[in-house]
Amino acid sequence: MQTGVLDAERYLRRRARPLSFSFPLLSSLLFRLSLQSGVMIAPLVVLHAQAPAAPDRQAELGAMAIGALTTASPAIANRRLTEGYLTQPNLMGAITAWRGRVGALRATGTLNFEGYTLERGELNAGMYGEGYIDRRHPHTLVHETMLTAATPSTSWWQASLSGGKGFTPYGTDDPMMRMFVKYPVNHHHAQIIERVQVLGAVRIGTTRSLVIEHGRFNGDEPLGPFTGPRWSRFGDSHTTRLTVFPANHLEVQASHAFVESPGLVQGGAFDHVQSSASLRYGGDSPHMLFLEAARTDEALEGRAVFRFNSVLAEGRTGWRGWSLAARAERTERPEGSRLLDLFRTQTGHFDVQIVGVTRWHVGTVQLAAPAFARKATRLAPFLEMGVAHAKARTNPAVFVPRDFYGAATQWSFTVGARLHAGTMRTRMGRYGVLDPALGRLRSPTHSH
Amino acid sequence: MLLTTTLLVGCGSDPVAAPDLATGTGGSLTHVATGTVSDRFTAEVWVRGNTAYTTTWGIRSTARGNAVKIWDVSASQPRLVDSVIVENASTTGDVQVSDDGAIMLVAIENNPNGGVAIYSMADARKPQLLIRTTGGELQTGVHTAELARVNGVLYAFCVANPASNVASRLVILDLSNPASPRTVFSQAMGRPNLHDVFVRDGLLFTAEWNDGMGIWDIGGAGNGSVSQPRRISQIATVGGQVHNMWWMHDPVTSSKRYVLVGQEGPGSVGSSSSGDIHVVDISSLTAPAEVAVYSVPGAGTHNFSVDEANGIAYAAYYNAGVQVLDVRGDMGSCGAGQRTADGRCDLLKMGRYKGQYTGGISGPVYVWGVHWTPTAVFASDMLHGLFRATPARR
Repeated sequence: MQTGVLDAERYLRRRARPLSFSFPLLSSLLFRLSLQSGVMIAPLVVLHAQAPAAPDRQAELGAMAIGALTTASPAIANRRLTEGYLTQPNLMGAITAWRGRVGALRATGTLNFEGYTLERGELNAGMYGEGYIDRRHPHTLVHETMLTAATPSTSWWQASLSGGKGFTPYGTDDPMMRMFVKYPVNHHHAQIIERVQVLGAVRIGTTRSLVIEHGRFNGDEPLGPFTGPRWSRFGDSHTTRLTVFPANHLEVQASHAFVESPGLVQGGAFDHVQSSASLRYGGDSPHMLFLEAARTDEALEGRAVFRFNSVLAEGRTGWRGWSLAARAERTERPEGSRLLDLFRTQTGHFDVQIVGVTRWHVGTVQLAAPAFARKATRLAPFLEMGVAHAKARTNPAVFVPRDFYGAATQWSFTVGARLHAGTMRTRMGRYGVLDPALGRLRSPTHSH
Repeated sequence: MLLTTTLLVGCGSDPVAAPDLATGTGGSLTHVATGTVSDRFTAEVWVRGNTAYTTTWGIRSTARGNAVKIWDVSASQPRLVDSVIVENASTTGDVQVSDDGAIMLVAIENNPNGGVAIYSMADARKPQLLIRTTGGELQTGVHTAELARVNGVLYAFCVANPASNVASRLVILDLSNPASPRTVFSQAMGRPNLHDVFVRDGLLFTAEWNDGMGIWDIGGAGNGSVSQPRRISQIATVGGQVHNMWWMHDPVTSSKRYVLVGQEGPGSVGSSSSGDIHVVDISSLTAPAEVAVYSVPGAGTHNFSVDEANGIAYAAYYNAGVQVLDVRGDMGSCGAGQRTADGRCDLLKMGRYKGQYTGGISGPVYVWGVHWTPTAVFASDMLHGLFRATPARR
């Protein structure tokens, strides 16, 4: 038993080198893959052939997964459910393929295997999206695959251009990279992910700096874990994010996005106009604080029809490898018509109707024990408890949470262990100038 | 020789509750009684003879909208006599009994296996299931389904929902053998969805949402047919969101000039709604024109039923109950002070509003459907059940 969850990032960074591939070895592997896929990987190989040797080229590879047992009461319709999961199984890789006088080129990829392990979804009070409700949906197999070109990081400014599929520059860190196993209700208010995009970013300043990013992407949400986007919709949606680093370990973010018809691939459903603001304080300290406000307007032809707000606070403290984290959230979600499987809904509200708005108050506490570690693998046990209260925002309402769930308050208990192996990223969706491997920013870390 | 039977249009869902709209009883209808439904949300209503049928919607507490309730309406007080549970359904929308009383058609929303259920009505109060479709083009859910007889053949005009990467479409079933429906026409239409149809005298009207209202010849205006409808024209009404229609025939004036078009705007089911009634002049089938509008602030329209002999339209108006309108005569001519800012005639300013009916309920209502008969007007309220009122008189 060595270090705990809190210092996992530092530990895994130390362990990164033994798992790093030599560039020639990885380029050979990529070349083979490129023969099969014919996309994106090929340029890396070409660039490799053209680039001079650089000592800091390296590939990183890491894997994560969480084994968890959840009991929720009532989970739905006055029923208590107990289920086991292999959740958040990811294989993450990155390679700085080339670094020279004019900049660097880096590829980032993540495979998410929830389509295999989480098809029914994961019990998660209040969570909704992509046809699931009160269960978290599985993410797509190709979670991200991004290629970034960036200017050198040594100047008072830096610029980058990224393209591929991944996290758009909107909102805050994906919950998968945060402390808790259960997602907040606001996932779809606070993040826009798994889109095909091109994004540009500029950093100005050094120790105190600001970063502005702008991305163009496809608005349609994934239909399922193994489906791709509608390519013709690339560019119909856009987002801009401003991130300011006013002091060490402090980060302030504001972003705004327009997402065209996320719920209906062929278009015609509500558009989403989304806003997010956040503050995070942390760094390598075992203590961190995260505050977030997010809003989604469902709009028709530019006119907001329904508005859903969210505020969330997370905090963490630690001592001798033990970690104690807490989250409080108030988030509003739209209700849709449920299917025979009560954990599924229609998507898109194509007839511009919703079944009401539910306001969720959710509190979550997690206690994590010091991790068991062997070589580059770590296993951190945890216990997580959640309490949720849901209420219709307006009356009369046809969706009355207390009647539907069977109680005014829902409890959930989850016990499990988080497995990390290899080199882990501490944050996701940070491309170009926000990527510590390319830029000079060392933004605060989350627990991991 | 065309013989077409037209029937009520039903569907949907809508919303908004302005408190001042949801109280009191209507000036033109007299409330008689309520058949209370508290276990499920009520959707559409259909009446034939002394029997009424109401469908159910969504989930109330934990009860699904999989029931068709059967009412004895021979007396003033509607009396629930039986229910039919539709297998694997979570919302039953439209319900309709054929003109000869032989079959009943029920639309089933996406669950995810939507479709239609067809019942034998040898005993009008004991429907017997003939078929419940599964799979195929109706799998995404049938939002509306209308029965109409054309050239002696009974058809079901079914509107299949869109889904991601699946377009909404009109599917017409030949019900010559109702136990074995046969698809005679299928075509994607509507942006983003087709919502409803209306069939009469060999014309097919299609509610194509933001593409407007379509007029098709299915034998009444040329060489079109049910299996090969011929589009005559299409009109985009103000605001789009075309939801349902009623082509009025006035037996007194012999006018067949106007189509009432319902617009379903955004809403939250049970509490809020939006959308106007648009009046479209189809004197020229090839060049229809919107001439008038009726609007209720804070509420939106849903399904219609028209007492054509008396020139009175009843519009289910969700949180505004049932709106009663005088629709006789020229609705496209009005004075300057009776027009909206964009020049259409305003039925309210023209004095055509006759009253509002909320079933004698002092609290909120949310009326989905309405069905006129010569002796009673029935309204289906999602929250309370089946209202019965005496019809308005001129």
